[in-house]
Amino acid sequence: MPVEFALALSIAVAMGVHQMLQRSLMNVLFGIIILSNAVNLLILGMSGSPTHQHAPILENAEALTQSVAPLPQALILTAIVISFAATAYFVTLLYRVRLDQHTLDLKELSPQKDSES
Amino acid sequence: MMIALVVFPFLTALALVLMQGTWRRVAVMASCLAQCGVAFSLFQLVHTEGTQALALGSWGAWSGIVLVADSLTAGMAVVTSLVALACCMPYRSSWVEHPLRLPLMQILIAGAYFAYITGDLFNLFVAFEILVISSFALLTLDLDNRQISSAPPYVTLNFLASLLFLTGCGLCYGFFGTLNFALLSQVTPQHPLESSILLTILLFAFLLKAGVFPLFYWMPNAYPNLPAPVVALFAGLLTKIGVYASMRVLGTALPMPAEVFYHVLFWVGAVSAIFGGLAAFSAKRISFILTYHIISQIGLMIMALGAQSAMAWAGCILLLWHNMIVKPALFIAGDEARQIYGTDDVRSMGGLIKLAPLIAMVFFLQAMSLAGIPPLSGFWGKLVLFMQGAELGHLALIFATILGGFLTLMSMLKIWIAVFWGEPTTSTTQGQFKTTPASVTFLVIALLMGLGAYYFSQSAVDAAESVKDFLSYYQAVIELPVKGARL
Repeated sequence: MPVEFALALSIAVAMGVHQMLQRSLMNVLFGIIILSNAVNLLILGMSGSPTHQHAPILENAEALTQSVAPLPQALILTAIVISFAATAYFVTLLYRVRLDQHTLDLKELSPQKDSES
Repeated sequence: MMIALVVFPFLTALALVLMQGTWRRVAVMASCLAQCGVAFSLFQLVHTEGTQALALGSWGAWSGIVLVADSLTAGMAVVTSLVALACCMPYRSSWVEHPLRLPLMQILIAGAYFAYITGDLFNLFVAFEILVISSFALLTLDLDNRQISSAPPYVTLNFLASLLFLTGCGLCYGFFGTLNFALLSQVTPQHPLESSILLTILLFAFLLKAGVFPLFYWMPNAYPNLPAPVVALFAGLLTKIGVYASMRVLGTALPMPAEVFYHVLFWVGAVSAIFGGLAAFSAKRISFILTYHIISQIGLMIMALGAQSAMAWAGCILLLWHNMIVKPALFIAGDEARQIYGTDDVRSMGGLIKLAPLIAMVFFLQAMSLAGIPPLSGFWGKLVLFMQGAELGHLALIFATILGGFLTLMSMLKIWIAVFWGEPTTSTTQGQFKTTPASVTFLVIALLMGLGAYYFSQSAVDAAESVKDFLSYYQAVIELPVKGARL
């Protein structure tokens, strides 16, 4: 993995973690989105440096030995679809919480206690 | 056979969306029975012919998708199909059924089967996501205020676990060039550093999903607000799949981890077993008590994994299967009691044994089974752990098993004394409350497990040996016919 790529990745992860540690659920949502994209980039990085490599397309057999690994790209596609579905759910959920409770601040959204019924 | 196991519930879910009324019930029961049939015949097949493998599209194991069924897979599938059967039974006639609930439950079940039979890490991730996203949907299906407000922590923590798992998948491909369990088992012992990094990430994700001690926060808030059949399905499958995945990764994919992983698992499990027991003892509502018990029981299983020997793992599997049946049954029986009193706070309940003797009987048997009273099913798993503790000279294992069991018994007695004994606190007349078919089914299965302990523990020992026997797993996968030498 090239150094610039690794740096970009770690900045993205740091941003995601920072957002997730905020008190508002909206920030948590953004944190999750950034983190999931950072993870997708990490998988992309695992296919190796693309310098002097071909795209993995089956045209002639010799080129294949010098192409980047195609599998991570297939993995990313799946991961993007999945995180899209989960993010869509989370956005809808937050909208509903906001409608019900008029706030997204975690301090004001108190969970149910054992003694209530 | 293996494909049918996953495709059946998926197709059922699709068909159920189109159906209405009685047909739905007939269709879902028929499908659940068929799933039991498929699971049992897979179990039989694995038992007679050994580990089964299937390469989808005949791509090789390095880049293709491989499905593998060994004894553990088959056993888990059988127990899951039984849980699914009982949870999808008609619950109460007065209960308003959301049209999407049964289809979503079927999708969750399909995700569980897929997690068992998949032979590579990435598809395990996909299976987890199927489970988790359908559980998100089930969690907030009723749009009840309490459900909505308990959902954000659940969703966030599960999302985080998924992202960690996905990071693990990416790193695994980067380190070893494959995601297949069988191939990993051959490569990883030569790379201890990479294996340790990978294992740390994966185990953290799995333990978060399993809900052990420091990572359980998402569970106690979400579970008590769910309708009984759904919480039964969650309690039976969701957390247990975290334990299954840890077992598969530790036993088959990364078979020789550093010793320290076992120690960490052991102590995390032991603390979780005792903490869960204490929390359950201090809770006041039946649904909270039962939810904290999940933490305690999962702790016992993780602790058994940390004890490392194949017999301890067999004890873990025995506990796992026993819990998958008993825990849902207790949630359903607890909900039946809640229907009578309108609350499940143990302080305002009483005299259930006079109001509804059958519910009380079911609850009593399952609770004693959970506490580990012989000859009920929970006893055998604890017995195996106890004997392993004595054999390995592992005093902490014996101590934590006994203490966990003792705390479980105490909190069950708390429910028992407050709810079942005493004078009835409501004026409703006797004999009006019947048990539901679901809890009767669970009771029959649990009793059969306890009384057929010989076969039950034999299958668990088989399963524990097969999950640790990565060589024959590798053999089964590598002998698959491969289409040409592409890429």
